[in-house]
Amino acid sequence: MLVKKQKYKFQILWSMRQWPLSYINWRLTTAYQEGWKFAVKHPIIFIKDLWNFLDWCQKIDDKI
Amino acid sequence: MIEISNIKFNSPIIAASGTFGYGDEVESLVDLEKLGCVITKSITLKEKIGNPHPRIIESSAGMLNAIGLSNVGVENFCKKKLSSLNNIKTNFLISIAGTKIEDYVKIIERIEQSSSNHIGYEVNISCPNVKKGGLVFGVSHEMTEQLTIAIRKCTKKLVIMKLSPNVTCIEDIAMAAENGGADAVSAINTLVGLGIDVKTRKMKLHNIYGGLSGPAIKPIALANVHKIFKSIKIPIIGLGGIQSVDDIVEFFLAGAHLVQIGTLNYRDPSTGVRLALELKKYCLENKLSSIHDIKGLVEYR
Repeated sequence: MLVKKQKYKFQILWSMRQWPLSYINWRLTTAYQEGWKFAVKHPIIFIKDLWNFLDWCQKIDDKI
Repeated sequence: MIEISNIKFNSPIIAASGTFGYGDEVESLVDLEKLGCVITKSITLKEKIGNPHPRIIESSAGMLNAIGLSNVGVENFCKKKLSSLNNIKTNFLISIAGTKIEDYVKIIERIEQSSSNHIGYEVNISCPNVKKGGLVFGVSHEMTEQLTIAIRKCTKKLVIMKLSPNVTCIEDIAMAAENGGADAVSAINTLVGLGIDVKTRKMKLHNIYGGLSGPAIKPIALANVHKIFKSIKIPIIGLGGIQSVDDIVEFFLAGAHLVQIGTLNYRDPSTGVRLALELKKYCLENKLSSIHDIKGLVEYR
């Protein structure tokens, strides 16, 4: 049986390094009214949200 | 090559509205030529900042969102976004949303005044109609038909009505769109959902309710696509939880004419291109000239 190895969160994050700034900006604007400014003003909330997102990516990867 | 009202699509896979930016942000990352079309984020008459945080939460096998149609508004869209969208290497549809029929008409009139290569509009009807006490356009076949007629009158481009699954009989709404003159329907938009944080005992979303999307809703989307397929003659663009070629095949067997990839774009914006390549391979292996060959061919037990 083929066992799929789950990617670590930092590997998922690293794979996002190619995302253009305009796309990252759009993602932040989608998540927060103030966009990137919210992430700067509320870094703990942002890190929690990012963690939850990476966790979700791992779960979605398992299903693909 | 798949067509809707003489408009050709390179590929049966479309990037769904709200999951792919305005379409131009990912141009350097994704080979857009491999996609049949890109649908912009929904545009409203006035700029909107959307709902307060938290407005996106991850849930098992999906995502709940209550973004609140955050967008730049039609004026900024025409001035700042259209020129770059005109140069993307695939078709693009503009998603529009409003709270009155007049809003939708004014948005289209403003866009049609600009020089734009868009092939048409996907009409988000999961918005409250302020003139009808906030009743959502898409839950009433009368409002859907009136809106479709009004939009049809002001454009010759494609008109695609995006249907909400939060209704008793989606076939009635699809028939209303067809009667109103729509070229196609998209099915389905998100389902109403709710998340509660058990530690804080608070609602997870600031807006309380949100739209559930992703793999969790695929069986519901398939059921709705098949119900609509049996009721109308215009094409159906299927969406809801697609994450593999097998899912795409299921949608085509159920009666879809094209499919959209939505939530999976949040995981990786190149998902649509990957699936387009895998779908070509599937067609070759199964001796199909196009995935369209199996449209609606599901067999009953």
